[in-house]
Formats: sequence, C-alpha cells, structure tokens
Amino acid sequence: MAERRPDTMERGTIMAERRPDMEEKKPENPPASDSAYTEEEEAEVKKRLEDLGYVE
Amino acid sequence: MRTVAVDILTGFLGSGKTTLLRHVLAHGLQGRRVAIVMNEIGEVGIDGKVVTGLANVEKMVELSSGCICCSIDDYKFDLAIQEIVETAKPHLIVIESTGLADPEPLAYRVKSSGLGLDAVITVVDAANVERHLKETEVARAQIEGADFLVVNKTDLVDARALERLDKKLARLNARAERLRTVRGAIESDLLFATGVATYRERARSASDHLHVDGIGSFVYRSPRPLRQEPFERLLARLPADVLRAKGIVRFAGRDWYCLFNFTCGRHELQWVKLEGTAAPAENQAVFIGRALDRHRPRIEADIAACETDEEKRAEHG
Repeated sequence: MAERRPDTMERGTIMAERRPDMEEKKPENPPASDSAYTEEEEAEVKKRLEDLGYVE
Repeated sequence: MRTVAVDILTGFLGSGKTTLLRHVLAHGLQGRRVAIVMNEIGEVGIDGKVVTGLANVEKMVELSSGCICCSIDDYKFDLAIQEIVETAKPHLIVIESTGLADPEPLAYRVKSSGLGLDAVITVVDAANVERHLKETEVARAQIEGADFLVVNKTDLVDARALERLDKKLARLNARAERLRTVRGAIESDLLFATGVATYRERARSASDHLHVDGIGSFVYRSPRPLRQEPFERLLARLPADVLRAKGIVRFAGRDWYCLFNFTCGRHELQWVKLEGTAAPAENQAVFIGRALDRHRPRIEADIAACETDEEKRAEHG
C-alpha cells in the first residue's frame, strides 16, 4: 500500500508518519515474536536516536 | 523507522554554501554519517566534486537536471531520498540547493517524503546581499525561510555595514538566529542535527553553564506521560533565547512515541513506534540556547505542568 501523505495539523507542525490514533491499538502484552524489531534492529534504532540527540 | 534528519543549506549564487559545507564536513559533525544531495542547475556538477571523498560523506547524490525547489518532480526527489536512506543509512542528509532555490517548497518536500526537517540554513553574502535583494525575489525568500542565517564574507565589509545588514536581516526574519563567519569557517554543533547530541553530553558536565559563545544546554527527564496540547503550546511559546530543543516524549493516551524538534521558533513532531530496548523508559528533552540559567526553572515548571496521570485521564475521558 502506498505510504500516506502526512497530515498537516497546523502551521509549523506536520505529521511525518501516520498519526497514532489512525493506527490499530497493539495488544497490551504482545508476544515477543510480535515485536517490531529484532534485538539487533532495536539496538540500531536506539543508537540512531542517541546520535541525533533525541535520547541519551 | 526513518530516523534521519534533513538540513537544507541554501543561499544566493556565490554566497559560500559549498565552502561552508566543506568546512563543516572536514571539521565537524562528530564523525557521524552524512549523505549529501547536491543540486546544481548545469548538467555537469562542480560543487559535488568539491565535497566528494571527505571522511564523513557516506553518499553523494547530484541532482543536476533542474532546480530542486521547482523543476525536479516529487517522484524523482522521493526516489533519490529513498535510495540514500536505504543504501547509506545516514544520520543526516544535507541538501545543498541551487543559489536560486526557494527553501520553503523544498522544506515541504522534505516533510512530505517522511523525513524530519532539522533546519533551514541560509548563507548570506555580506558583501553582495543588498544587490541580491534589490535584483531578485528569491534572495528575500531564502532569508525569510531560514532558521539560521549565516552571514559569510564578513571580512569584506566594514563594521558599520555589518551592523546595518544585521538590522536588515532581523527585520526580514526576526525568528532566525544570525551567525557570522569568514570563508564558511563556523562551528557546526548548533547548526546541524548531529550537534544536539554534543550539547547533551555537555549538559552532563557541571562546567556547562557558559561556553565562550554563551550557548549552554540542559536536559529534562520525566517518567510520566505528557498532555499533548499544552506541550505543543509550550513549544510554540519557548523564549527566543532557546535556539534548539529536541527529544522524545510519550503523550497520554498514545501508544506511539513522539520525536519533537524545535529550531529557532519552529517545531515539528514525528511519530515513531518503539518497542523493546529501543523504547525509552522516560521522556527526555534537551534545550539549547542562551541565558538558560534564567529560563530553565520556568521551562521545567511548564513541562511538569504538562505531565499527567494517564489512568486518571482515562477515567475522565
């Protein structure tokens, strides 16, 4: 499916991905196999967030 | 998840964009992977050759079939961005526009392609900007669309002319932070997304209160979810001394995390789904700017006022 265009909320604010309330709620306790990333990918995502200054 | 930040480097013909970029790539960005999109109007790219081969440059893409703000279609632009993200996996993409590009439509394109716009950096030729402003509309658009105005070639004008120019730039764009440089030699931590991580590290140091440039930083942490609307209002009302703010927060009632990026009065949000070890245990935000000793208590109090008890909110909700 083609990626959605972002939804503009107001001037200066843009949703770069689908809004959370447009997503189906995930189960409260998903099994480990349903995790969005592998352990390696999780580590990579964490590192990238650190490098960009989002988290420490 | 596309955690890639994009900086747009613009400025009129001959203002020194490529010189600045070359300096930054050679001396800054903490060795983080950078991809460059170089847009030149001519068929043969010259500027691209100037930055190719520098250590930080993971990938270099030349778009030379037209101006990136108006002549290159969305499909071609998205394709170039997608290829860069997938093959180079950069932390940062720097798009150097042609000297005749309006940064606003380009900024919109970046956001539409699903990437985070970090900052619009406009290089201003101190010696020739008055003429550019008289002769073209786009020079004004480049100044008005900037988050950072880098006034270059300051060695070619006297102090009085520089003062006049500073006032004029402030009138054209009061929101932008103005910086001065000669031959593009500028410290890049404040300008580019990757520098934010450096300010985080500095904030941990007790001696961070004041740097030579007067710019400091502090980090806010909280385990409780925030209410989105007041938090966005807070971002919109941050004092002008706050030049950058960046972080990840969880809003009440949301199961996605929000990456926020504030640059010189403009902010944007990106939503990301994080699980496992990638999911942070707390909200984290770094604030970078001047006189933060004075502003910090108020900012912290305002964020604390956004915190909420999620369960209680659900009862009312």
